[in-house]
Amino acid sequence: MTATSAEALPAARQMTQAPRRWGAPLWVGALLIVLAFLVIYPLLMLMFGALSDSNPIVDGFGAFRPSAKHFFDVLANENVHLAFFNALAACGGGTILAVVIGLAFSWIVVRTNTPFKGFIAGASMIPLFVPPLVAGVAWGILGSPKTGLLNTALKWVGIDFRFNFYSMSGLIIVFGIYYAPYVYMFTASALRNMDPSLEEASEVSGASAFTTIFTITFPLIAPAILAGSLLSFVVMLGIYGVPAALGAPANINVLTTYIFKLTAWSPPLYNTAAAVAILLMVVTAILVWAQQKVLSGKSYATVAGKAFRPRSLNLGPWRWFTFALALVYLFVVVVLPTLALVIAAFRKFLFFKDFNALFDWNQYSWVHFNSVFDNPLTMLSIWNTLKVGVITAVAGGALAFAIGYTVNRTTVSGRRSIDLLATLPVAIPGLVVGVAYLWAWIGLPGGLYGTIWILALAFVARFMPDTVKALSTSFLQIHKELEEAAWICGRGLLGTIRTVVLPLAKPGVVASMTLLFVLAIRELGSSLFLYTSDTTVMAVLLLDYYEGGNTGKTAAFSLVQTAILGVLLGLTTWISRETTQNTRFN
Amino acid sequence: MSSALLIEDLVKQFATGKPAVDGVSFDVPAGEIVVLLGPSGCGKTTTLRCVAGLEHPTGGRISIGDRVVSEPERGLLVSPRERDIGMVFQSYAVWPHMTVRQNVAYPLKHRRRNGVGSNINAQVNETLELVGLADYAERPVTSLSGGQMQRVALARSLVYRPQLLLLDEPLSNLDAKLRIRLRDELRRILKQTGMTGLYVTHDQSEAVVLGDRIGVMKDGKLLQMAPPAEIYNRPADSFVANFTGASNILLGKVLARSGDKATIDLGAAGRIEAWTPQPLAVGDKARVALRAENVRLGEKGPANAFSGRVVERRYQGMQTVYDVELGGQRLEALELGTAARHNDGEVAVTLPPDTCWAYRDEGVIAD
Repeated sequence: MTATSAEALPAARQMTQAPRRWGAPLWVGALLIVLAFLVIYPLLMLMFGALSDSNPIVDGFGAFRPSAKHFFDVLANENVHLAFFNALAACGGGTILAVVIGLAFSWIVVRTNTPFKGFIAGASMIPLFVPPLVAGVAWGILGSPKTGLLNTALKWVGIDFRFNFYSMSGLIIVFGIYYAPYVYMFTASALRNMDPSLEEASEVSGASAFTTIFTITFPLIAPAILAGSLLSFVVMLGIYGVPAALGAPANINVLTTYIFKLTAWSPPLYNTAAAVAILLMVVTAILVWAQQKVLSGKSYATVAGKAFRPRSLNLGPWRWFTFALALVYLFVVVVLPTLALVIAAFRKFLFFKDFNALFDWNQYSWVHFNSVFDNPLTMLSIWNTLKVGVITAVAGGALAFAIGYTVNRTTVSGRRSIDLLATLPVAIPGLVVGVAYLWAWIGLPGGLYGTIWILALAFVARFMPDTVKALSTSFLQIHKELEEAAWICGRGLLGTIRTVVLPLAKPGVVASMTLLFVLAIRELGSSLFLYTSDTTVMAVLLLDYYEGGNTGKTAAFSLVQTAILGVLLGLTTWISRETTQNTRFN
Repeated sequence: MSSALLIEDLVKQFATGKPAVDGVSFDVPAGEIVVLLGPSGCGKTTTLRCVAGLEHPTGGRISIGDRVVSEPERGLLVSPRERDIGMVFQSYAVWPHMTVRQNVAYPLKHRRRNGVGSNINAQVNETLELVGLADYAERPVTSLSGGQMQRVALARSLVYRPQLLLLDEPLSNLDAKLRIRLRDELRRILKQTGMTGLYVTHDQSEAVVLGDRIGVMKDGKLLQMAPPAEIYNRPADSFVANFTGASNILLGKVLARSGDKATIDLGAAGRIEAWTPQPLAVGDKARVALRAENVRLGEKGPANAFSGRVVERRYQGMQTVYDVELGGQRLEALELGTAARHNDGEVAVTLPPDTCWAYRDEGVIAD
């Protein structure tokens, strides 16, 4: 028995090895080609555009005049400098505010006995799901210098102060309150993983609670604070919606809005836009690199590597104060903007002569909703958004599965390059992806430009790192031996994937596709450059309404979009959870 | 000499379930080291954390020196930083963002009443010398080994000469060899500084080496508090006997009793003389506990001599373990030495009466 199997083994190995000798390089080659097509080709075209003097619209696609001078001219331009420093100021200020809010929240939720902590923790994540443009629109309605609802309220109360959110400080405040959850996510988990005896040791040593927080707690989670603030800075830097809604009226351009402005010029300055996009990408890449560096550095938080009893500070009556702080935040970030959108959407005119006019029900109607849905583009955009979402989720999910499996589960050579290419888009803001895809496809006759496929491809490329990462986590949870057991049982590689890996990874795959779908249907930055009137999506149409200047219609469509997002989010979460529950094997 | 630590009727009740600490009382005279020993979940760490002030007791009184630091009935609770204590944690809890020197100097910098105060550096150097880390002062603590980190933690808690030092399983994260070395060194350091200590562990060998007295705890109660030799030779109840290694149990009935001597009928095996700390009455069911090391094979002593049969022999190199049948009951015997001297079959067995301890049989198997 042992003798026969020992003899049979080498023969069997040769048999399975023979076809795989060619199979593996072919497979790796195919993946590399797909990734190069999705990521490298558009980036090369972007660089090409930035370094050329000719404009594809004016001079035709064939006429390239390579010119490094053009690129440096753009970088030396005063308006570019202004947009650059505005972006740094808005994102820097926003990040500081986000760190203050995020840190305070993680401390309240993890380290105190504030009532309803679970609710606070959950609700403070809501801002992550609000599309930036909707947030911008809502705060425009609340805080515009003349007609802003907040200012109307101040006038009734008789306070002389007036808000002006169409300003740099408005931009900073909205950035800060909406992107605080990014900081919170990092610092809360660092606090949770920190050995409480590190703080207890300080207390026993004779230090006060205040001293302990500033000499022990915060220094220990400093890497998490830094990583969280770098991430929120990067996200803010790539956001178009908020500065478009709040900066544009005051003529404050940041890099993203400036790039779009260049392409909206007549004739569109596509090569200048490409050059600025590269500037934006380089800044982002440096920050992303720094963030990865911080994260991969030694983490102080888990020195002992065991489970800790959470240490919660008894605040006594002060716990109601921290609870009130949390409520104020939730009111400002969720209730107030929603209320503003609802009022603006249902009121015929956004003008109040006194406080009682707010409750004059004759002033409210469905008129804005009717006119939104009378516009044939509205239904078209909803339909397009869903189509793009589904295509992105399916295509992106399948590709990410192939990449995730190859990188995590095989030892084929070339898998490092695959991993690198698939992670590269993490450093490319959505808007830059948009410009790059524009450059890659605009001149190709009979190409994808003008179809919804180009949007889907851009989204697949843009969200590849997130999807692959989510899938890799679920691959790592499937023990390698489960797969090896199937091989021993005589299954081939594909058979093993189909009968063992896929069923076990199903919750992860569904979750990643869900994530892709949700990310795709709310994406604005990369859509801006790739849509045509036939392929407009919800996010773009909302921008159109906003720029058209009709607050009522904008608010109404914001609500429609938010409602659709909410329903789809609920639905996909439910599907994802069902899959997880039905795929439990113990 | 007054007590450095006095605990009276301490109770700690968490939100749900049985009290974690249930009426514990003991004292630690100045300069003495008391070890609380028990299985996990017995309440020893909770007791220690109550003394530190990191856990808030729900009843009883704790005094450190002459000062009451916790008495919930009067609403009295002194915060940890006002208690003048030092503490060494199981996870070391050295601060990874500081150097060795910064860690040790931290309490000197942040304590409100810092008598000497003037020369922090000299005090730090002296303490690092004491724990053998003088050459490592400027290193970041993350570059140290586990044993060295624990020395830093010890130095940090000794540097300000607190009235009382608390040690919460300080050696249990170290590997076996290092644990033994550091255990012996810890005793030297504590005795050299004359520190009063309360030490918590689940490891009996640590307890025996370090403790001037050992308190054995179970289910929140203190079962016995005595010097190590007494815990080992006169365990107060069958749990203490079993926990400290007396794993042999012979079941029988009390035939006669006088003072702390009892005669037990073991059935087929015959009768046995035993020492007992409990008021056993004639006719009571009893269990006799004894250590495998104290069973004498191949000897016919003046008392408690039986005839048994070796059923199984397990040679372990430095020692040999025998399974012996004694009138239908099983007994484990351990013999030191590299030669196994007995073969399977009949053997004379002597169980010296002083090493046999009789307890009331409550029908539960002690674990």
